[in-house]
Amino acid sequence: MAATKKISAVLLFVLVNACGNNFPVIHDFKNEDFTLLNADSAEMNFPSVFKGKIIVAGFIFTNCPDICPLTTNNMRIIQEKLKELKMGNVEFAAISFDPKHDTPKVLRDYIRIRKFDTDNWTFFTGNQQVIDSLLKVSEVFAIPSDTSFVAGEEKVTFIHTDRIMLIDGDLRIRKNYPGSTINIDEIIDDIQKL
Amino acid sequence: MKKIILLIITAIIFVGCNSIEKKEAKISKEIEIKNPWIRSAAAGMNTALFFDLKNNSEADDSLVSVESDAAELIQIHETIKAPNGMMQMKEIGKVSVRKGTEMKFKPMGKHIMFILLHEDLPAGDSVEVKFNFSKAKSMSQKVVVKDFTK
Ligand SMILES: [Cu+2]
Repeated sequence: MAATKKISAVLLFVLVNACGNNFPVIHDFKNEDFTLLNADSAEMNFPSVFKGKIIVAGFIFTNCPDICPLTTNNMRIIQEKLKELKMGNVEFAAISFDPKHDTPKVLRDYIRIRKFDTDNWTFFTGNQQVIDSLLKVSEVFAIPSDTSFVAGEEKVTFIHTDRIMLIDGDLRIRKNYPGSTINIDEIIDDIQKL
Repeated sequence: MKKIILLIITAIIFVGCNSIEKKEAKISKEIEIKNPWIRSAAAGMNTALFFDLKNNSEADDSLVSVESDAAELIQIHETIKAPNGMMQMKEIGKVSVRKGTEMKFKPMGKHIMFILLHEDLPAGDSVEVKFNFSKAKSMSQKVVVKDFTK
């Protein structure tokens, strides 16, 4: 009898751990903070400003015509679905890896023209070095690939990681997804399990 | 008498022009731009135009350039996968479309890149775009602005 109990306990232990392993800790932001600027030029410490909430964070640059709009569109769909499910414990973050071009004013234009719901969605830019160190710990790469001057204006495009990441309430990255082709049902499911 | 001659000349010009117009319409059907849309973007930004290019003609053809007053520079681009889950795009020259086939310009693939928009392009607006081919006659088309397709 005691043996059965022991076996059950072991089985339960294995099961709980196996399920927990769906979301290994990819990175812990516990001792890190990145002072970024939102679209209103206000300083915000990312990710600690959202501590206690689940964060869906995507990486973009506003001059990106193809991949990043798919990423932000996917974030928009996730945001709408979570609203329908009445899950209010999630914050969205779109972080620019082109802060030189993506000033808060440019981010405001981007939000206005695409009509993003900024209720629980913050667009971030900031100091290049700070952004670079955030990219580094997030293992996101953005390499300028093409620089051209059009009508005197510098236009840079990037080879970049296509990424949306899921951060838990304790500021730990728990899962990465391809931003432009993310499975919406999968991340909704993951958010509910987290 | 002079009046009658003038009338006849006018009639000839009118009929003649009409038939030329009809002929142009027939020629332009050889290449079709189907379901074109351009993604909304603010003045100064870049955006992309997508569509299906159908070649109904008896000859292979290619799209060589696209013109519009909406942007400072317009190029034919393709988004491609780079190593380690990275993405990039590059300018490609002309895009050939074989006779009787269709070529899709779609997100994550080929697109027409509009660089440095002159004005805001909010969803619902439209822009006039001219497509130039190596064989078929150039064709102008109104393209609707959309935020996203879904
Ligand atoms: Cu492009």
